[in-house]
Amino acid sequence: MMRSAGVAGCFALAAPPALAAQAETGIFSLNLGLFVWTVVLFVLTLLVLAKWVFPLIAGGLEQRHAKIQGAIDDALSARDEAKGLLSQQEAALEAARSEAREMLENARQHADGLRKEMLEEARAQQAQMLDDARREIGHERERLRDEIRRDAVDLALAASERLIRARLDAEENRRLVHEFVSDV
Amino acid sequence: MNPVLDRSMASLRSLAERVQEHAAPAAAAAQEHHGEAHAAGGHAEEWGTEVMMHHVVDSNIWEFGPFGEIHLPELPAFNVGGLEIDLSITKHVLFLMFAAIFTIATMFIAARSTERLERGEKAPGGLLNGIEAFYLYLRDDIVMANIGRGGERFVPLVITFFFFILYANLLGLIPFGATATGNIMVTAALAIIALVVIETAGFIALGPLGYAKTVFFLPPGLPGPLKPITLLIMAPVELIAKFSKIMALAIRLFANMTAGHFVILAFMGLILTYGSMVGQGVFGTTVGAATILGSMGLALFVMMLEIFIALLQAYIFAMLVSVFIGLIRHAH
Repeated sequence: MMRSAGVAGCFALAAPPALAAQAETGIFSLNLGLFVWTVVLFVLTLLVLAKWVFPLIAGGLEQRHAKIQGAIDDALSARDEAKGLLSQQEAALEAARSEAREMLENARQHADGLRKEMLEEARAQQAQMLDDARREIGHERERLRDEIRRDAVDLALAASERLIRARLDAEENRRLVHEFVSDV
Repeated sequence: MNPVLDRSMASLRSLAERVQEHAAPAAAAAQEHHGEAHAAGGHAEEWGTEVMMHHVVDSNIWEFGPFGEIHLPELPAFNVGGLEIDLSITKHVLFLMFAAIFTIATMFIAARSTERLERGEKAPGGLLNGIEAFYLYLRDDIVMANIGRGGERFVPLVITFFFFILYANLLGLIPFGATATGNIMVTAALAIIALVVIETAGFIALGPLGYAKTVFFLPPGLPGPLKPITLLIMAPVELIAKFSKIMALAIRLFANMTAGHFVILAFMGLILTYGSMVGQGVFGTTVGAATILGSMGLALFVMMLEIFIALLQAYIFAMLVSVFIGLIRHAH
């Protein structure tokens, strides 16, 4: 612009007559031709744009709008779906967990019962064995006592026999044998 | 001083000398005869005005400064109902054509990118994003926001207004360009297209009776005797309001686009006026150089402002057309 103005200045200096000839078209000159040209050019531009160009742009924008809206909708529905799946998973997990808990509880109870039962059984068995042992011991003791008594009688008889044989004469010995026999 | 600056100074000095050659005889005459002083001043002013006007007004010659010029085709004028219509291709017609082509090309490229994008060939790129941002902004925040339901039909019109005016504005800022929107006939034509669309939209939306009420409006509850008086006063006012809005639309765009050019040209003119002081003593050289640099800086600043104004005015035009359509459709 600066250059063009400067150059215009040069031009004006170099050719003032040409300038003077053009000066008659002033700044407010009413050139109807220009008016007509403006209307024609503007209307043509408008028609071309409105018929062939703007529909493309508007359509493109509309399509992109729809595409983005679709993508957003998809994302939202996917999110909802994921949320549903997640809650489903959580429920399943919870169910599994409670089932496991239940199974554990059952097992524990079962084991407890089993242990108690076994304990009872062992105890009973123990008592039985103890009883048996006691009875056995009693019997044995009786048997032993009889045996000892028998042996003692035998021994006493043997001793007395030997004593009698040795000193059957003495009064004292007789008393001893008597005492021995009564003690057995 | 460096050689580049020296050379530019020298060329400016020779330019200034030529200015002086033109001004000197007049100035000498002015000193001799006091009575002729006014005429001499007038001559100097005329010179500046001529350069400015020459740059702003329409013409049949497209100049490229030192690179020559193109004579645009002239057609014989014809009469329609007593009005002379000259359909010759002038500079402004040519630049309107460029604006139309650029508008279509821009939107077409954007449309093709959109299409390719939809076919999944290409990720959205720079130009498409830019155009789409404009398109969506104009559609959603200008047209739909101001017109409301049923505003879709006006989207192409408003967007075309925006880009057509934007390109016409911007093309005036490039070297050897011409600002078609700095011509009152162009802006008037655009405004009248807007007027036709606004009034038609109002007529369709409101029906014949409702549309008539936009001119002959009686507030409800008005006492009988006041009705004719109100009509007599308010109908012309309403009618004038319809046209004044449109005139404001035309003049706003025209004045904004022209004023910026005048400001830039005025700064450039300062260079031609005070640049001649370069080489006339230390003081003269200092003032001349300061003026040249200052003017160039200010012209550059105004140039930047012009780019902004080009965008702003296109936006304002599009916005106001939407507002007016919305207003008349929702009248009463």
